[in-house]
Amino acid sequence: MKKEVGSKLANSVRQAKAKQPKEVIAVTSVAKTPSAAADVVIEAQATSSVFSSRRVWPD
Amino acid sequence: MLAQVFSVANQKGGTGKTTLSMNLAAGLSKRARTLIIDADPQGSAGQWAGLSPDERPFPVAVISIASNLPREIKRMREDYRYLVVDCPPTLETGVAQAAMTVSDKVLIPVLPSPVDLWASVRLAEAIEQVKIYNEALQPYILVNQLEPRNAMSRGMQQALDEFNIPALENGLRRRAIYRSSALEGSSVYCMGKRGEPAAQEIDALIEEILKS
Repeated sequence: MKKEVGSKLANSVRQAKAKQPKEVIAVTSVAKTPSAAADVVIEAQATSSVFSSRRVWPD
Repeated sequence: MLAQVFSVANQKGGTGKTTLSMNLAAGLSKRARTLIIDADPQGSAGQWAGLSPDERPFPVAVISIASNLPREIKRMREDYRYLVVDCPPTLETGVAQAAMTVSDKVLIPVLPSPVDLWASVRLAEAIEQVKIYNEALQPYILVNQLEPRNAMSRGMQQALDEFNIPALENGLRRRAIYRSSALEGSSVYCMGKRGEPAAQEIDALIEEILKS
């Protein structure tokens, strides 16, 4: 049973790899141009009570 | 000594990135000064720590960073011994890749399920690209929510052999105490007897990743 499930899982991973599209976001563009949307969200959180609480900064 | 940087990444949601980040950091903080960097716009790490009661604050500070992540991480390496980066569940924004360019190790929590394994294929590709910029990056797959009697859990090893990324010997079992600790803004280390088995497996995981 274990071997059968393991074989099926391994086979499915091989298939996923074969179908994998090759385009992945270039790393160079990442570090220099982080998502503006992410910035906005993080900024909003930084002003929330959660982040202003001293409990987040115990030291 | 500069901090060791551990990124916790997987572009699939629900694999336990934040749970691993929080408990890993809590365990590391028993050894040395540790900081959690919440790089996920969902802010789950900050929310987790924010739930802790005043009389028992979460043992590790959480800071939320989205922009200039590599620069900020490099700057913080001087002030801490360990940095744990909780990455967002996506590769599209590039934030996870940015974190990995300045990390020593990336831990990839994967659930024992086919869908999680398939999703990890793309992350493995992304890590190969990051390694062009950070040759020293050491990626590790961590099997999360293991159920030893479950055939899928037991069959994982064979599937993990298909990846060019080593799997850690110490996985984490499926335990309700991980969810309970989140609800209390705490770590498994502070959950009394109920948390002991989970704390022991986190300790074993930390031993393994510090030695690897």
